[in-house]
This record gives sequence, C-alpha cells and structure tokens, in this order.
Amino acid sequence: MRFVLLTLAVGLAWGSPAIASPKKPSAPVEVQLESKPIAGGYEVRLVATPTRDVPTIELSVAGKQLAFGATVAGQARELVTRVRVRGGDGLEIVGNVIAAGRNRARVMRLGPPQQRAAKRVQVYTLPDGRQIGEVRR
Amino acid sequence: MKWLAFALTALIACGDDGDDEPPGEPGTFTITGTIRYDDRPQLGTGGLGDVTSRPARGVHVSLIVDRSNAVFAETVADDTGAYTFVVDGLSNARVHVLAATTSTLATRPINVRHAQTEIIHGFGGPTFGLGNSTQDLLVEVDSGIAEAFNIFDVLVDVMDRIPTLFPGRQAQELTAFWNTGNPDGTFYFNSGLFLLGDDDDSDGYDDTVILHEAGHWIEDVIGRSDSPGGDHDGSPTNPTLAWSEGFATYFSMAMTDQPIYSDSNAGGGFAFNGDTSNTKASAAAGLGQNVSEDMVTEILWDMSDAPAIDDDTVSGTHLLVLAVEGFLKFASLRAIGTNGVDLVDFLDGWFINNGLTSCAGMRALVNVQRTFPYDYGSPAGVCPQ
Repeated sequence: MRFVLLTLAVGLAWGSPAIASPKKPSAPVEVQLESKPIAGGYEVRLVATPTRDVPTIELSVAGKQLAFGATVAGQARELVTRVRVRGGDGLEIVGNVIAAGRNRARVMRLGPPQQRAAKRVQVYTLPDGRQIGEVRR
Repeated sequence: MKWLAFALTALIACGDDGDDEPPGEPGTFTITGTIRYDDRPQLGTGGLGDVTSRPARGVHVSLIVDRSNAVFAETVADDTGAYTFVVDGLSNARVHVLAATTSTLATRPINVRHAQTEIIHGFGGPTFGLGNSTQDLLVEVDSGIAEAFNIFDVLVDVMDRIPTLFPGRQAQELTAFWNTGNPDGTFYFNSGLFLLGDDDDSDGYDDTVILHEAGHWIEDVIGRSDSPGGDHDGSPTNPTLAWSEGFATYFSMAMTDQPIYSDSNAGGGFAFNGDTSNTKASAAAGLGQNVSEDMVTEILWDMSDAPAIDDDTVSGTHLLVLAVEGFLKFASLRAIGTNGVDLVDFLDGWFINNGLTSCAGMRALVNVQRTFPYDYGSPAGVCPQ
C-alpha cells in the first residue's frame, strides 16, 4: 500500500493522472456486510451493488439465499436475515455475492471476538544481512 | 547439499547454552532432513482442496544456535526439500533448524516477505542437541505461514522456466509480500507481488492468482505494458488494460498448462476457463474499441494450446506466444487503434515473428470466433484471403 501511496504522490507532484497498479481479476460488485444486535442474536444485512449491468445477481448469508434478475450498475440489492447467537458465544458468518459468474465474499464475526494467540516471532539475521522472522513449532 | 562448518571455535564460543546438558565433546556431525509445507491445491472451480504436504523446494535452511541466536550454518534445500549440514562443533550444543522463504541461488532470486514488516517468513523446528541426526520440518497450516511457502514454491516454477520460455533471459529478483490478515489487496508494483491474506480472501494458495501477478512482472522486466491499471472484471475496457490483464491471466495458464484461472475466497471463489469460453468483440467497432480481458486470454490460449487439447487450426505453442511479449518491448507499434500496447500490437508481433502461415487459423480464431476486426496490416504483410 505504501508503494501505491507513493505512486499517487508522485503522480500528483508531476501534475499527471496517477497510474494504478495492476490488480487481480475481480467480480463486478461491491459488497457490504453489516449487523446489529437483536434479542437472541443479530440481524445481518448483506448489500450488493454491481459496478456494471449484470444479468443476474445472487446473494447468500448464514444459510439464506436470494437471487435477482437483471440489475443495473449502482442498483443495490440486499438480503436481510436473523442469526441466533447464544449469549457469550460468537459465530463467524460469510456473506457471498455472485455476479456475472464471479463472486466476492465478506466474513464477519457476530458476538465476542475470537481470541487468537499472537504468534511469537524471533528475528534472525543471515550473514548477508537478510532478516528472517521465525515462527516456531 | 553439504555445508562446511564455520571454525570450531565459533561453536565453542556460542554453543554452550548453560542448560542441563553437560558440555559435549568436539566432533563433526551430520544433520539431514526434509522441509515440507502444507499446501491446498486449487480445484479448478474456484475452491481449494484438502491439505496435502509438499516439498519446500529450494528454500533457505539455517542451523541456529539457541543460546546466541547465531546462524551457525546455512544451505539451500534441494527440489525434494532435502538438506544436509556437516558441521564441526560440541556435541549436545542446543540448536534448531530454520527454513525460510528466500534463496541464495542466483537462478532463484526469490523472497517472500511479510507485507507489513517486510521481513522474510521463517519456520523453526524443535531444539535438539548437536549430533548426527535427522530433523524433518513440516510447515503446517496452523503456523500461519504455510501460504508463504506455497507462494515461494509457485515462484520457483516461474524462475525455473524463464530460460526455456524466454531464451537468453536470466532470472531477476522477484519479491512477494503476503501475511495472514494482509488487507491491502492483490496487485503488482515495481518487481513486487502484493497478495491478500485477509479472512475474506487470501491468495497464498491461489497459484493462478500468484501466477497472474507474476505475468505482470514478466511484462515489466521482459515485455511491455501501457496499462493504466486499476479494477477490472472481464467486461469491455481500455484496450491496453484488457491486453495487460488478459496476457497476465494467459501467463498463469501457460505456467500450469491448464486453461483455468481460479481464485478462492471465503465464499468459495470463482474460475474462468480460457479454452471453453468464447468472449466476443464488436465486429462493427474499430481496432481501438474497448475489449474484454477474457477475450484476450482466450485468443492467446487458443493460439498456444497445440496439440494436446487443441480445438482450432493454429498450431502455436506457449513458447511462440510468449516470444511476442519479448518482441513488444522494443517494437515500433503501428499508429492504429489505441495508443500503447494492446491486442492489435500483439497480433502484429505474432505475424512479424512467425510469418503468414497461420493466417487462415488466425482469421477463424480472431475475426470469426471472437468477431474482433483485426486488419492484418502488420509490417509482415497482408494475409491472403
């Protein structure tokens, strides 16, 4: 990201349009996944907005699916569902959208965050100066 | 590969870690082993298969003295992941083996670094007392860095094939940046492959995504690109962007010799078949029209897939198609279509490099099947009707 910012800065400094880096192929859709707590769990909202006209668009989240027909660029489609989460527990859900044969997904955790033990990293320096960050078994 | 030890005194100075082990006797010891990592193969449908271990080809291996954290010996694993140290030292000195995603070989100048810290990824085995022993390492998924070892392995393939695919070209330094949780996107910049490691979408096991970005590196160091970069999704777009992205996807297919581009994510992922898909241009529009990157990939694949699964009459190979990329670096482009390298310039280069014998097949592929109105007006001459 720092290189992209540098490129943008250089482009602006020279007064010319910034050149973006080549990205990987992606689905023609922006995806948002939101939640709000309700009694017994969460209400989850998946919003899909195609970036170009698409013949069909399919949304799925937490086991619920919804398919739409032709959707024009910028037209938001949404799927709202309720997910039961017991007090104190947490649950990870995936919101998935398929548009023009390609998908984009978002992961969200409902409830308390999962405790992930940070891995200790020991840095070693090779004789030629290269630095290695070691994770141990 | 054998490695001759540092001076005996070096280990004496740093080898006694003060643990319970009594001071050992001087000797020459052989430590051998195999480095492997957990891979998840691409299924060709977008998703990933079950975990399977593979040799960590060509990774850097160090022998570390625990007490001082000194690198006591170093070597490079062979293509089976095997390594050997032969060292002089004191028996029972506490040491361990460290495998890292870097190489000291001139033919494989690859580094895979943490995207935020830019430090090379490494995986350390258990501590053991110095002596003749076998120390195998498996970089498991749970380590959080097995994907870094997969990225390294994919780039080994790229480096190893450069002399064949681009005769006369030598390996050049290539660095990939990835780590678990990296949200900064997947893109190419300045000899660096930047790869997502997010929960939504991690590309460390997506070999074809890694190879797509390596295709942009090939354009950069061997060929030419005038792409403005940015987002792309297969729909018609700027011809220089479509050319660059279509070429990069084709390069990933050429490297795997399969016409499949596949990208996994938390929702399963998606795949694109460059052989069975048929994406068309507008026959009525000009040479500078916006086109799909998918159409570019399909044309390149069809030109190069002889003879194994060929369903067209162009008997090209990956070697011949990729040779045009090298040609484009210094080619004088026709002032036609759009400014900068695009599909038209590639097709011109194809006929300049290979003559006009493929004219009939190329017309069928380009003008009939994809309805792209290429004019066959290259300096190589006009194709016979």
